[in-house]
Amino acid sequence: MQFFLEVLIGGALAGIMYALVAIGFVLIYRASGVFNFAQGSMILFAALTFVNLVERGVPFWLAFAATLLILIASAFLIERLVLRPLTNRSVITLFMATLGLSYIFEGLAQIAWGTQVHALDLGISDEPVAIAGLSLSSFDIAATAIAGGLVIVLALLTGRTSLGLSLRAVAADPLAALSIGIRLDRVTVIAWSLAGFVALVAGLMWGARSGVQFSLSLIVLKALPVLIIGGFTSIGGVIVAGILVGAGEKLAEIYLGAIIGNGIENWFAYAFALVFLMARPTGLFGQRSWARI
Amino acid sequence: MNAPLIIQPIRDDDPSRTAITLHAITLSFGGLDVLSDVELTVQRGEIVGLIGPNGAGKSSLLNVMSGFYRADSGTVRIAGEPVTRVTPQRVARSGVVRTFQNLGLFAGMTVLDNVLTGRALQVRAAWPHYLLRLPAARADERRNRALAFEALESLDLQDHAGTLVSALPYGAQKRVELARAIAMEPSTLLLDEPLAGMNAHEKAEMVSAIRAVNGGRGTSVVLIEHDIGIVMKLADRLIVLDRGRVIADGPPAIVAADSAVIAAYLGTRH
Repeated sequence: MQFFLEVLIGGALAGIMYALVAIGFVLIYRASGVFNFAQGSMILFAALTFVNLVERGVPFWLAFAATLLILIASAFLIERLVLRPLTNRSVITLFMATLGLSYIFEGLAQIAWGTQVHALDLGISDEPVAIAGLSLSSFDIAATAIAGGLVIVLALLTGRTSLGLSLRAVAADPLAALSIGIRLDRVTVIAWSLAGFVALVAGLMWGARSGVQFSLSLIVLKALPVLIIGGFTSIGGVIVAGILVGAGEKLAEIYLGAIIGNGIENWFAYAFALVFLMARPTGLFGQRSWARI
Repeated sequence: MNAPLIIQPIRDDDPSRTAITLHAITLSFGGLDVLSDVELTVQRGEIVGLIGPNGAGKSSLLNVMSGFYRADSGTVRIAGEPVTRVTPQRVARSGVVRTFQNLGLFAGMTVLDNVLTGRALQVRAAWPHYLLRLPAARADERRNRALAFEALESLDLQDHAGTLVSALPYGAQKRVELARAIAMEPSTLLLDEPLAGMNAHEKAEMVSAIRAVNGGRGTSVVLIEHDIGIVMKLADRLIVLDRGRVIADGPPAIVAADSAVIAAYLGTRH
């Protein structure tokens, strides 16, 4: 029983790391109505920039602030050069644009910082600690605390505030949002800046765990099932989904691995998401929409 | 073609009394003239009915006024001030608020949230206040909610505040859109067929809400409407468009009796 609980809670905490990635997608999806394929590259770009600054002797917080500023500047550029010219285009056009963006981010990261793998030490140890008789990873616990803090900040900023309303309004109907004087450009920049901030936090946590390297951009693939299960529009939903996926894949690996073979961890999330797509296409907390016909 | 019938109220040209002035507005789409040389003035506190047959350019005119279309030539003035580079957002921020013929609501949001978006511009406290839930932010929030509820009540929607807007019947959605516009405390309302698709009871409610905002706050109203009976009673002045031109402009009773107007509508008596 104790082992079961350790696997369950350990998996759930690891799942928070997936949710950390997925939140960035939710922020942009809610404002621009598009699945931002570049989110993974943004995570890579942010982590690489940060780790290279730190390796050049820049203090932690200064490097964090500098990276954040670069991401905010990118948000301005993306709005001006990519999204504004594509206003009122179809979702698939926007999606293709983000696909292109992801290559630009990766290319820029490569030009600026090279292709080496960097170790990143955030000063958070990854050792088992005993809590209530259970042995858990201290890193996972720290990641959970950081994700929790991030979610609270985002919820306060984008919940029932005028910014939150503007974000949702722009996503629902850009023309109508214009008609009530909402500044589309500014709302878009804010959403992408917030997503950049989340990418930075996620990049640091994932970089610290598995090294800052180009495969970092592939954690998008782990975030996708989390998004499908949690719903593209709900930050709370992707947190719950992250926990479900994390716990589910660890439990499946350990308890089903012996029966149907190992490697379940690699595909469990997708099978789980597939079930959700059939049973509940809008995700756990996703916004259900109606249309009168 | 007959000379247009222009009987306007005695008008002092004091720009501070005008809500919107259009001068020599011309608009065409790929060789098709949609608006030709349109002159139009809306006085403060006035209700203007914009009528005309289908395809006359009524919605296009409203789109020019609200910045959604940019005229090929001509000038738009709001409260006497010329607007250079008319954009929807600038027009809305200068107090001219429009509604859409096919609804411009935020599906997936509740009725109350939809109306609250109309207050999103009227935020006084800076965002750190919001982040920390400081009293200034809470005061803002209370005031905005109170005004949103007031707007909902004026259209008898208060019982639907928590309902998803897309779940309401069409007529109620139209009322929500007007409530959102009213919550913005506009100086001028531009309403594109606000009564379309409504039953008699709903129409009466809309009319009294439009009258209330016009009487209470002195908001000017420009409305496109096909129900001539209602427009005749509601509007202080009728402007008739036909094929992109103003063919009549004056008091409803006189305009409605004009032969050119009747011809434009019925296609007879040339």
